[in-house]
Amino acid sequence: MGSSVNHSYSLLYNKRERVAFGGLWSSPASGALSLVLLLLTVLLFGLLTLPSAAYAVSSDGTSDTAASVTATAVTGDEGAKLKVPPTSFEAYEAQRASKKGRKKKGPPAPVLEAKDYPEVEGISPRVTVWLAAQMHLWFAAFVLAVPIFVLILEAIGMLTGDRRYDRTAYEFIRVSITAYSITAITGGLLLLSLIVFYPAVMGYMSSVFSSSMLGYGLLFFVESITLYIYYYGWGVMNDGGGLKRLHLLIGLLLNISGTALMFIANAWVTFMMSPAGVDKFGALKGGVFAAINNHLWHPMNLHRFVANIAYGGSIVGAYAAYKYLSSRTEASRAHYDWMGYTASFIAIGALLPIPFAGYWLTAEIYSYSQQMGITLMGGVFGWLFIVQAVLIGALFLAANYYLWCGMGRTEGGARYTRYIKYIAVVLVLSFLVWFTPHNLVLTATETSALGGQYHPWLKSLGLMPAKNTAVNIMVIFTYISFLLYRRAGKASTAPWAKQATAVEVGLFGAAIANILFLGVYYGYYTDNVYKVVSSVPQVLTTLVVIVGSLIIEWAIFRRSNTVGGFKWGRMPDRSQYALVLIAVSFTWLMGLMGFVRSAIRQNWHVYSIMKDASAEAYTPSIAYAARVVSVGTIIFMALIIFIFWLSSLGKRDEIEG
Amino acid sequence: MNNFLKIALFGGLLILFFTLFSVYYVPDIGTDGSGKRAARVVLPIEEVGPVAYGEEVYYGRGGCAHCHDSAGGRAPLLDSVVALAPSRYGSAGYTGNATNVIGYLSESMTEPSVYVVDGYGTLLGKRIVSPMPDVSSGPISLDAVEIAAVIAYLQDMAGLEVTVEIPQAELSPDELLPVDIPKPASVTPKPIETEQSERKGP
Amino acid sequence: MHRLLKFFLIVLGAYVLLKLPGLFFGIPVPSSLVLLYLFFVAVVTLLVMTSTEASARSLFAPIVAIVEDPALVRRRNAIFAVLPVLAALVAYQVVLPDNEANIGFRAVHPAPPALMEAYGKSFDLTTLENPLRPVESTDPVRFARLVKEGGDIYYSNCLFCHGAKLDGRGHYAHALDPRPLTFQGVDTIAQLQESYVFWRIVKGGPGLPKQSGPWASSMPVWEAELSEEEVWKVILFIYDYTGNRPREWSR
Repeated sequence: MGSSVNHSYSLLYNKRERVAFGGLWSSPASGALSLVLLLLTVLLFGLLTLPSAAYAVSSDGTSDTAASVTATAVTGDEGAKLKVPPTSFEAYEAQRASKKGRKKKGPPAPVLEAKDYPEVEGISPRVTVWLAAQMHLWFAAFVLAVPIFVLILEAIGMLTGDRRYDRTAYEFIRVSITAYSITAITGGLLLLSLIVFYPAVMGYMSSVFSSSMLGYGLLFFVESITLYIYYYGWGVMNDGGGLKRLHLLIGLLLNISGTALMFIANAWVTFMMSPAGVDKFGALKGGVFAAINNHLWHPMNLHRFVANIAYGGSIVGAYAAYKYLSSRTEASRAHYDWMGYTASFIAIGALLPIPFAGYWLTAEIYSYSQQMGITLMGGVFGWLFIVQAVLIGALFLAANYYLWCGMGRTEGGARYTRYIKYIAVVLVLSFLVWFTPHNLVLTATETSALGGQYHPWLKSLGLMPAKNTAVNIMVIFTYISFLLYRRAGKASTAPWAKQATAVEVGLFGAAIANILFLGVYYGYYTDNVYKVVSSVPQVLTTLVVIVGSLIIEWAIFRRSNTVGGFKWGRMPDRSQYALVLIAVSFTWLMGLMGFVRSAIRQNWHVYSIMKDASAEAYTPSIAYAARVVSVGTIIFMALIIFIFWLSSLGKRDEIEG
Repeated sequence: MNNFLKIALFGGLLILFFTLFSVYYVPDIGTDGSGKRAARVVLPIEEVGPVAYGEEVYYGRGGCAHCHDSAGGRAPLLDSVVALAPSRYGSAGYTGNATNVIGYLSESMTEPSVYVVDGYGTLLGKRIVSPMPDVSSGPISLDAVEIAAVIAYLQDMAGLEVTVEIPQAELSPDELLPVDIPKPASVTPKPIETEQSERKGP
Repeated sequence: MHRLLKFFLIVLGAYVLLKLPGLFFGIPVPSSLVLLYLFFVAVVTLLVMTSTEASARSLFAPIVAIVEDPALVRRRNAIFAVLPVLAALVAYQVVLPDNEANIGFRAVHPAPPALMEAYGKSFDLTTLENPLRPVESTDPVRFARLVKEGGDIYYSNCLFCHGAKLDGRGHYAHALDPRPLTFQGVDTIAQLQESYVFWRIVKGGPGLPKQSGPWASSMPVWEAELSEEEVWKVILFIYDYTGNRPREWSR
């Protein structure tokens, strides 16, 4: 295998590839395009930041009653006169014009009317912006994620000397170059559609964030330059020594600037959900950092950062799956099998902490606004979490299936296949609990048979303690699948291996018992306070058992023989569809959850500060959102396939040949 | 069949499944359907009276019904809170300083933890506090008129006479000072404007 | 046993298991959930059965044989004839019109008002108690007579819907939606104060508060038919008959 891989490896850097058709995109041409877009962006923001006519619309906006009705604050029994802040927009404007109001830095948010929203016949502004934003987000997530693990792969490759890592890393950075251009294009589209359809909103947002928008442009510039050096310098700097280290450093810089870019964009989005640093009317009180560092900024940063890595991994996994299926040589099958495994390992590894990052984000949403939190979890979007549960369940099942099939890579796997069905039974049971809703969809006959909306037995499965218990058990059993997979090709030589395995089984048993006890006892036999608190020890138990068993496994297999001849590339074709499923489900899930995050603002552009007065200010139903997300997913997938096709044009035969 | 087509078909079917699941399995609840909703105009308090106005606030901007609702059980029902108020501000667990019903109600809206109904509190250290937000600040930001109107609505709901006074007074430009949204003692008055509101009631 | 057969048996077994509570305990698992549960049981079973090459091959072997084996041409033709008919039957069942009502969410015990106007006076429902209840301890003989009188009133007025055994299965009950409530068991009147029951009887379906969801209760307004004392007697009767105690005031 080694020789053929090395052969193709050297071919990767030949000249033919650089001037091939793919060069139209992955070439200085796209760099120039990105720069033009960047300049356009900066220019447009510059124009918008000027105190412009965008605010004139508000002066005749409010009704006559506003000025005439006035009030003293009466609370309790004493009718004492209190100093009150301005109550109407006009009064506020008047106050700003006076001396006292001058210390405010930014203009207030305009009060909008239907006429502030330009109409274009036959085009829905919301859907346009929605799709543009979603498309930009998917590409951005991909483009940010790929350099992260390209860097990791490159570093591993340098440390271990295994050239497969370096080769895979290079293969991906090339793809991400093309994706980078498309990210810039979709970003431009998003900006354009926002300016065309929501000029007043953009005017207000840029008045608050003008300086951060310039920083965004600058970082974009840094990211572009480092990306091009990183990509084009790969072959030249690949000397295995000092130059390679410099190359890694550039990669690090690329990742830092990319992540910083995302953080800045996150600040704009979270400001719209949990505005900070502005007064009641939306005028910036002090520095822009107060607005950036709003309540949801850090939870969102963490959530998106982790999710990006998982997402990048899943897309790469799907790519490897496709290449695996179309491979015609043993060497190429082995390579893409290995790549698919590594990518899905990264994807699932990063997927596991996402629910916890999600909990943090949701908790912060609750603490910022109870109303927003309840709209999210119990109100209009309560059912959305059933859809999410089904998708996450599908991800877990696909991951398990991939591991089960992976046991076939070695003859030794046959020793463990009989355990699969028990794992599956537990997974199914947890999965059923995981998506059983509290408020059921019942027919009239069922309602009268049950005597109410809640099922006497199933109702307890709809509550949070049951879900937490189920998800922890699902994680543990997925992890057991992974352990069995790792054991498949090994046989320990340690004489105490049996006893150690027994200890490990005991550890798992105790952990599962503990999780069940915590969930059932604290969830249903104590009062409200402990219900939520019990989820923390549950997660801790899961972590302890994962770490504990890893240590034991390491000890057992420190000295071991390989069994049955482990071989990459010996995977059934159907297992590869699990990788495709992970990528598609992930994309769709991101689209859906992004919709919810945005939709819980309901009819606000900037929550509690700037109201949406357009004809599309209503909250669409889950069904409608799902359709838009599906259309978006299909467009995105088509584009991704196009990119991969482009990047493969230049090197059609190198691995096959 | 070509591998590419197979994968595309698989992905397409998967997306179709997710879509069908969301469209046909998930019930369509409370989002005003997928149709367009005409902008809802809340009439000024002078026209509809304090009770109807308070009801609008209760289900709309105030978001009270999100929790105080018979289905959820997140917060106590408010149907008889007016009748129960004297027993609450007279009880031992009460930490506020209201001496009458209206005072108690407005105090509870801005400082919910002065009296926490049994079973609805959360522990904060050793104190039991109410999870309810202060309605006069943050995203809800009701003003004195709106709070008074909600009290009127609560009195009406309990089948009692509406006795709360709706605050009204002149504001001279000198009084317009750039202060932050005041804490409970001074509730911000705001004129009644025509505004959109989404009704989220049961 | 053959794998394919095993697969169908597993799914069938799960289906039967999910139907049992409805058949034997009258507490059905909602059909919407059964559908989803079965779908995932089937999917996971398929995944397990195809996780190794040998098992996957043997699972699909009969299907492959039916399609490809020339010796099985009769069976093939029969199956290809029966399958579309089955599909047509299923489709027919699905589109068949039924008289199921629309799905709606509702609260069974909505919150009562604090005050109620009836019989020309005002009742404070937060403190109201049954004036006849004290008789139970002071004069058991008279109490038994009151319960008896309440029973007479019940059987000449309430029986038709709430049933002879107070189980909500009266003559008319099956035509009504929502169904008349049973008074048996510990989760209806046992959870309520007598003042609540008084309010429900006196004001009936039309007196339900509007914040309690979509209501089409056919409970009459008994204020027009029964006197105040008669209502209290009926209340004594329904608690006495079912062996329940009214909920005490605790708040």
